[in-house]
Parts: sequence; structure tokens; C-alpha cells
Amino acid sequence: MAKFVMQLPTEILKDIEYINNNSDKIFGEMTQAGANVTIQNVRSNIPKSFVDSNIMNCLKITRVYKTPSDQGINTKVGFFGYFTNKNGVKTPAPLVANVFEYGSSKFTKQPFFRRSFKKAQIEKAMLEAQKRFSRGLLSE
Amino acid sequence: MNNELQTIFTNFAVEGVTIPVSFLKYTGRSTTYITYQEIQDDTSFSADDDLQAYVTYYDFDIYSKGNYLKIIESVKEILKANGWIWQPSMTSQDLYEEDTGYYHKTLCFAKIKEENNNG
Repeated sequence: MAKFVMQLPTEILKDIEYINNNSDKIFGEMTQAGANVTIQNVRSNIPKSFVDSNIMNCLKITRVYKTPSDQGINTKVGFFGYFTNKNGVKTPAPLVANVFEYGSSKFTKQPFFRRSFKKAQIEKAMLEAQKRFSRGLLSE
Repeated sequence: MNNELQTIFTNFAVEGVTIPVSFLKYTGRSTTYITYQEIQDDTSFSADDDLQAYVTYYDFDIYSKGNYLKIIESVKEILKANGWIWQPSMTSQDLYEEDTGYYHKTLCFAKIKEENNNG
């Protein structure tokens, strides 16, 4: 009876092992690359009144983290914590950002956050990071 | 686009109550109203070194001093029937204004528009 035995070359096995052992790091770096693109866009779209305000210190990227429910790997971009406004009042930064983003019955909105998520730009940065951190093993 | 929206929302009513819908700002006296505005355009289809079609995103802000859930459903229904696509990821959480007593919800919708390249 004809028989065929195939053995994967050691190099390919090592490559697969590398991807398997480093997948969390690769995915983490990918989300960070996407977050970096987004935060740059947020900075360029930001309302004028934010530019010289202490609120800019609250615009941050989180560390890479895993969501316990689905083991998803994430990096967040957002306004976190409090800042002292020009009247010396301690103010929650997400609240102020929210008012600018969605407006109110008295205040015309100036959306700047949602428009900073440019899918094509983010995807491109993530794929570049994927290639870089997988030593070129994973590409488009 | 604004003309299209004004036509869609002509005599817009929920459970028999007419709800004013206006562009950017509302200056009337109703305590339940909707404002809308474009928030961005995004490239969609390009060919022959030119833009063929794009996606336009609009925010619809519902303001009410009472329960607005039925209004949300009606807005979604009427816009969907007219070719608009709801964007859940760009829609706001439920908002409340302490000083005015208004509940507020922003719904984001998108529509693909063809670009006229004939001059």
C-alpha cells in the first residue's frame, strides 16, 4: 500500500510556536497602534477651547488590557479623571468632553471624538504593527 | 440632504403628538423636540482617480422632559424606511441635564450618497 509521510520543517514549527507564544503581545501592540492613530486624530480635531485647558492632561491611552468576559485584548482612548478649569473648579473631564461631543439643550455640539475613529487609518496602523511584531510572519 | 430630512420629518408625530424637528437649533416652545446636523462625511467609493460615492453621517438629538423611548423607535423607523442606516457605535448613552431637566439622546445615522462628477 502506498504511504505518504509529511513532516513540517522545523523552521515553520518554530514560527508557529513563536506566534502562539506571543499572540497576546502582538494583538496588544496592534490595539496600541490603532489607539495611537486615534489619539493623534482626537488632538487634531479637538475644539479650540480645549487646547490651552488642563483637560488635555486627561486625554490618555490606557495600557493594553484583557476583558475578562471574552478574553478580548483592548486599548482605550479617552478622557479620564478630573481637571481644574480656569475658574479653579475641579471638573470631571469625561462630562465636559461629553457635552462637546453630544451638545445639550443650551450648548451646540462640537463633535470631535467620534470623527477621530478613521477605520481605514486605524486598520492600516494595526496591520503594520501585526507585521512588525510577528517578525513578518503575519501580514495582510 | 437637509431638504430631504425636512420632507421626511414633515408633521412628524409620535402617539398623536407632533414633534418639531429642526436643523441645528430649536427655538420654539415645545419641551419635546429633535435637532439634526451633519457630523462628517467619509470616502466610500473611488474610481478613475475620483470620488464616486461617500457616506454622510448625521446626528439626530432627541430632547424631552419625559420618556423618549417611543420617539427613538419612531425616528429609527422613519429614517430606516428612507434608506438611512443606524450607527449604534456612534450613538450616545442616555443623557440628562440637571439644570434644565431635559433627557437627551443622540442617534447617529449614515447614508450613502453618490457624488456628481459631471461638472
